[in-house]
Amino acid sequence: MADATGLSIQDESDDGRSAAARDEDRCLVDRAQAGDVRAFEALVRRHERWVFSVALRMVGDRADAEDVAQEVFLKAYRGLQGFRGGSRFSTWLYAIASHHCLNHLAGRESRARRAARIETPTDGRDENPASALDRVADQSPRPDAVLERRDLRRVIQSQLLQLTEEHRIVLILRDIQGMSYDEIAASVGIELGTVRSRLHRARMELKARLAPHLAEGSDT
Amino acid sequence: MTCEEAREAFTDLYDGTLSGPPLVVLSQHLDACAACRAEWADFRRTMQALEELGDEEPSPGFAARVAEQVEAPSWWHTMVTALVFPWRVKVPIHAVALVLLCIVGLWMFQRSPDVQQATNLRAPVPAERPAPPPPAPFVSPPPSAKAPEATPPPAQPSKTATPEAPAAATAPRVTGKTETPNALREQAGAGEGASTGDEASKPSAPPPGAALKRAETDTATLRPLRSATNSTESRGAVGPAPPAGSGSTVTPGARSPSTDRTADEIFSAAATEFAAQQYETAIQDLQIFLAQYPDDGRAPDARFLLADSYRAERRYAEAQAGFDEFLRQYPGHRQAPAARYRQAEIRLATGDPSGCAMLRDALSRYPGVREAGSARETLSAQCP
Repeated sequence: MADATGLSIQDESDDGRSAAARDEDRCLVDRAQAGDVRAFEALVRRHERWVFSVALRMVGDRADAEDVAQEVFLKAYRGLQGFRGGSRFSTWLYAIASHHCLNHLAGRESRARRAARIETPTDGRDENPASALDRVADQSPRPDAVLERRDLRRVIQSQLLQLTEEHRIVLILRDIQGMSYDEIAASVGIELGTVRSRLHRARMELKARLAPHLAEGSDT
Repeated sequence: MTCEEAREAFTDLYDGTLSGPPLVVLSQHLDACAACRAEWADFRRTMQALEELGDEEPSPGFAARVAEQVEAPSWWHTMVTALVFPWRVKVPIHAVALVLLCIVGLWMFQRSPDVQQATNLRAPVPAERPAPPPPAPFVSPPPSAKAPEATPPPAQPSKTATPEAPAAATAPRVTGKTETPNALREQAGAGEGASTGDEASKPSAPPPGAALKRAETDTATLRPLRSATNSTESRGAVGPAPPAGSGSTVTPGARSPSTDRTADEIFSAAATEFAAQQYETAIQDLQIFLAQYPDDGRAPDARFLLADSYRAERRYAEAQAGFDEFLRQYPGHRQAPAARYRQAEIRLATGDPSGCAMLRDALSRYPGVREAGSARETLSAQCP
């Protein structure tokens, strides 16, 4: 069971490594601010996994997530001169990533609504990937079957996409990326109490959605 | 605790933020309520399944693609960045550029003889020498000596050459500064009515403190001279062309003859050389000046300076003759007292005991001049 400040505790227990990583980030940021593109590329390499994972969980499609992640890093590069080192680079970058994912989804939803009003229903070939995953997830599970690990991931991902963006981002940051409440509040820009309440509702909703897919015997 | 309250606490229970009585109450409820216990089991399974997702890797080369995008920014962004950011790079680059600019400027200056010549003519006196005092200048040339700016005619050297040395006046020029023809010394000595070939009369070593005294004397000599030079230069006056057969001699081979130099240029060069203790070249320039511009308002200064340059070079016979001639031509000149002190010092330097009497006489006649202080010291040391 994770602690409420799970990441913080982990950081304290691994303080040396965390401080070294922070120093390395700081050094790379200094060089990148001086115009060293290779240093910024190194920063991208250090954080691409985190940013891409969050983007993928938020948008549900690899190509789309890669575009979002790329936009996040370009946005960070353009704003790098304004980064003064008052906080960690990772905190600053994750805040950009969180906001950009939410903005991206808001824009996509808006575009989808406009398209739905104009276009006639399709035969399903051009439907949204999230809808496709949803359709897969909505299929009734075989009661006597234990889902394969890969299938389970697809189901979880599809059910994640059913949550609202506000709930989804908090759930991803906390339960997949392992961030502390404080870090989530700073990244998303909400109060600690809001983080807790949104997280609880997101967990309960996901539990309800996944309950039919999780066999009793799979509990370890 | 109700089932709803218990399920509301699942997140706190899972995150470990529940402790004390609430934790005890929830544990008791879960022990007693099978439905909530099943809900809690589902909750934990969901969380464990969620953690299974883990991180995902972007496609290979993702970071390089981002870097490519970064390296191709829009032109306006590049311009703004170059103009404003970052200072830590911009300032050192500007400093290096400034240094390079200075180096290029110096290099261009050294490759421009015209600029160098113009700068040398107005070169300041070395810093160790005191600035000239503000009082009245040593020389106040008569208004008649000032003429409108003019360049001497090209044929002037041959016209100003003395009748005694016509061959020298027409001889090919030798511009080497260190070369001092014997003819120059001989003619100068003959012109002043003194004997030549006095190299043997030079003392083998100067007395202690002689160099310091000489420097002080040179400085005192130069002060009024500078004033005269500056005042003349500021008016842009050039001395009139000397009449043929003037008393001074010219040795064209030693220094650049005056065909391409005005009176101001020659006199300024001589003054600068005297200040820099380059007495050999100063002597040559002063001789040229006196030969070409004998009626110039600065001629008395030039004659005094010439004699003093000989003295500094320990060419005492020529120096003695020079001061004699100066006092003969300009007995009422403001430098006349200084010339009398110099005469006495030269005699003492050459071992002539009559120098003591001359020094006493000069002290009695001119007790308030600048040279009086050092003269008293010399008198007490060398004239018991």
